[in-house]
Amino acid sequence: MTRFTSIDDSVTSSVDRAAEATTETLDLLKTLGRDLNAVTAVYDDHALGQAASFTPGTALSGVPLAHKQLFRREGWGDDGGSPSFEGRIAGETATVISKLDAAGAIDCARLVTVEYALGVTGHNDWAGTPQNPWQRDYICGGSSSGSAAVVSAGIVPVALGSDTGGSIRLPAAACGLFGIKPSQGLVSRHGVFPLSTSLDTIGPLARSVRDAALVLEVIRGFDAADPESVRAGQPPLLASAEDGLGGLRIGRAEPYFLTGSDAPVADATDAAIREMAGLGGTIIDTSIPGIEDTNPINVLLIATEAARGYAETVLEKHPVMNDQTVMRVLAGAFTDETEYQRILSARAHLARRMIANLFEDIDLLVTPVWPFLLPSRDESDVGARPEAASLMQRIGHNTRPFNFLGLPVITVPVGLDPNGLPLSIQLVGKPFDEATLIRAATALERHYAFWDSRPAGL
Amino acid sequence: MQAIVFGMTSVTPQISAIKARLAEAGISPDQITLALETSSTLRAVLARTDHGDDGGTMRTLYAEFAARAAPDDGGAA
Repeated sequence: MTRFTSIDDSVTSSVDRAAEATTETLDLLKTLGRDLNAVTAVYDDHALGQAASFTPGTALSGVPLAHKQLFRREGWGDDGGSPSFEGRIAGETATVISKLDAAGAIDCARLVTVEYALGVTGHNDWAGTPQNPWQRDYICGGSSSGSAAVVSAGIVPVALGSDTGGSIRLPAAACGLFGIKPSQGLVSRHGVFPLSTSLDTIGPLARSVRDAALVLEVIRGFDAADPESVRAGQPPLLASAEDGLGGLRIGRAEPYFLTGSDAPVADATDAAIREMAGLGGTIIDTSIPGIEDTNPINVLLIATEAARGYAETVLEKHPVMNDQTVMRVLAGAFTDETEYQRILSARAHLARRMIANLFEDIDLLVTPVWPFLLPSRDESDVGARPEAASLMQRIGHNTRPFNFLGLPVITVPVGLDPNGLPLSIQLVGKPFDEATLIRAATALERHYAFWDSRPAGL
Repeated sequence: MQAIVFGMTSVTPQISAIKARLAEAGISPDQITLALETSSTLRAVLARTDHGDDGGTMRTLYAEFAARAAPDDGGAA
């Protein structure tokens, strides 16, 4: 059966070709996708209808896609990955989904998310825990776990995810993908099941930098329906993609990111930084004073806004919900209005100061994504192994600070760990400078040729 | 440190009211304790964090960044 691993494989002006590709994708979603526990619902009639009537000559003409369960389409399921909303139907379509429709994409399915997108391992006892296509006994990470699984497995070339504390980057990194968490305000969240109204961001996971950039170009743009949306310029993201690392000042930040990660991960990141120097980048040691506080405040802000949105639902439905979700939402119920305003104020204040200092001397920053080697599904199952809770709390160590700061980030696979699973770094850029991230990630993509070494079957 | 923070928060009437509301909804005592300890630990970090006096929000900050990143088109959408 054909695999659609890149947009170029499937973009077409032929209705017959689009129908064929859509049919094959639907079959893959229902076979391999379900076998991976990655698929929530497949919408055959809708997808085949779109394939019969798409607009040719647009950026994503006839390209079959599937997205995290949180992305609403009117009339489709809208359960947030939780039995607490089982059977709920969306009454609206997300802005980004409408943009993909207009670009000619075929919307085939919704993919498994962690309940309420509130978890980083990918475990979901109710909807299913996706298996990592690289090694089935290992997690995909979360919360955009289904998105990472189906893209990594070659079922669709790109899938959308959401990132509030690392939920695009952790699964993208675990599955060897390029995942983009864009600048705060660049991509509309309207019509996306919210977790944290302040911190949620939307972005693509793809096997190539080019595909991630193509989709980001489609979905970005101001949307008055999203209160955090801003009017940003829309430079072509791929215009400088082939310019290489020459002339770029690359920050290696310590202490916190490397010291806070286990040696195999820190060593792999340092090795990647040395490779970047060899490719023409200028490496500059830097530090971000106070960065250690951004992680716990990010967790508090997520919990507080989750509680503002869902505490009443949780109190009513908690017997059918995951205990970890219940605890994390209710932890936010103790934040009063004064403290909430203080969080928002502190975030803007610290972000202004840290971003100004950070990018005085560098163009981008390099850090690990996961702070330790990817754990197996059993090792990281907090429901079955309560001692895994401490491990889980560490997972967002390197990712949450950049949600707090609102900065754009892309994950880049740079090798395999001893278990044969992807090892990835993240590149962090200046606000709205996604183009520089695309440029640097493209240079690394060429250098490592990561997907050339994939095992048979991927 | 958690116990001290927990003690500080537990005397707040509002915290007591929330705990009572959670218990009334059938949340287990262990989960209430864990949720409050987690909250207290995180809020302790917030309490010692400089929240500044420069006002503004992340949206205004990022609108400034956007205008600076694309000065020629006035930050057009």
